[in-house]
Amino acid sequence: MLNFSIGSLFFAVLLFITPIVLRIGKKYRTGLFLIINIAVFLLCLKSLPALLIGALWILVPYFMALLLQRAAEETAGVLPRILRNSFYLLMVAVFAYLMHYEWIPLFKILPYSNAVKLLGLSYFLFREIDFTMQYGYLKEVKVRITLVDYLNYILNFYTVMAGPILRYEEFVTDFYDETKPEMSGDMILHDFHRILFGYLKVYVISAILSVWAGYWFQRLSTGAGFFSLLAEFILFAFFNSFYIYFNFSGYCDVVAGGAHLSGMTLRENFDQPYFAVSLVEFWNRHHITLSEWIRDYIYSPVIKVLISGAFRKKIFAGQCVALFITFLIAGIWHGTNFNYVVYGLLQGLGIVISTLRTSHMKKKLGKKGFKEFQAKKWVRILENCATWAYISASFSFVGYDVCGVILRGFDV
Amino acid sequence: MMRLFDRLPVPVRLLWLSLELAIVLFAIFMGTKTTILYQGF
Repeated sequence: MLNFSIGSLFFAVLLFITPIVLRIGKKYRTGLFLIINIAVFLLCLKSLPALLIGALWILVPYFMALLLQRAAEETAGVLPRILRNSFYLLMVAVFAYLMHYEWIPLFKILPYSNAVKLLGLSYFLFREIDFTMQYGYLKEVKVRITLVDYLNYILNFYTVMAGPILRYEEFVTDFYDETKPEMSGDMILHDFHRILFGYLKVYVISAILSVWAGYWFQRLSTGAGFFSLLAEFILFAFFNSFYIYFNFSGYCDVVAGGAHLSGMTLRENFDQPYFAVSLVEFWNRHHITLSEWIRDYIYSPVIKVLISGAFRKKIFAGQCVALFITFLIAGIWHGTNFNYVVYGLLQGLGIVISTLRTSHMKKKLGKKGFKEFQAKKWVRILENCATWAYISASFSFVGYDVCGVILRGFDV
Repeated sequence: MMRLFDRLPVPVRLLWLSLELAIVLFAIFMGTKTTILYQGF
């Protein structure tokens, strides 16, 4: 299996070769891009069974979208809905199996090999769900749908590793947009700067922050005394939160710059998230494409089910429960061990508390009064610090075994 | 940072890019190791 990350030589070569190939062979751009994407996919496979699983994982949703649409058009009653829901349940079950969540007891019994893991597995899932869910709409608005475009959308090597999560419609519309201005020298310099600045964020800034976060985590793991541990945790959480930001936004800069050189526009994924004054605002500024995806494909269906059932007369309570479930699922998605479950619980809890507080303050001060209160400088600073502190504390469960440290602390 | 870069004259931008490239290559050749988070495995 080939090492495919933005730090690999292979990726660096692709980053500069692809724009040249796609721009010289403009007429065959779609086909050339597909060849590159399939080559990357094949080179990143760990084993032959992974090829079979990968092919099924990518192709089945394409044909299922056609089938589900036909079933919806030709069959009346609940059958199309049952078929659709069964398909998504199966996809989630296969995804969970391939991810091999450590804390699910069933996966300890089932046979499993790491060799079947695919590069970009969860990002494939996001795009497949978007494609299959939107298929009817895409046909209606006459968006170009072909197997080649679908494969380019799913396998797009710029976004296969860690997003940003594009929607099929925006990918195809952007890919075939002929109104884009010709590449100028200024644009090339801008993109080169974006790529190098991204690498600088990942390999210099986040690498240094990672060392410091690791150092304080090590001290935390072996330390003793409440105040000493508290200080070590704060320092660890501080460096870790900035490490996560610089690492991920740096990666996004590299792929966005590279894709733009090839004539593709990737959506911005960050908007200074640590300046947010609430958790809700934070998630609208951090990993924006994921936040929008979970809003559309987790929160919306969950709230629909809740307010048409148990929460029919308690819409606000339903919203809070839906938010909690959504962020718990999003947290669990982030990783396979139990730390990510805690991370999801903390995010869900934080979002619910933030929503309850906003609602309470609006009731107490009125909408206008609350707006004026929030506009005060000291309030903004305090809310920003509180948001950042909460996010940093919850982010400490990302990438580090904080649960293990806590359990060891209690001698469990 | 991006906006400031775009406003600079071309020679300064080229110098800036060279400096950035030098720092990045130095970091990589010095053996800086960092994993990309959120990797979709």
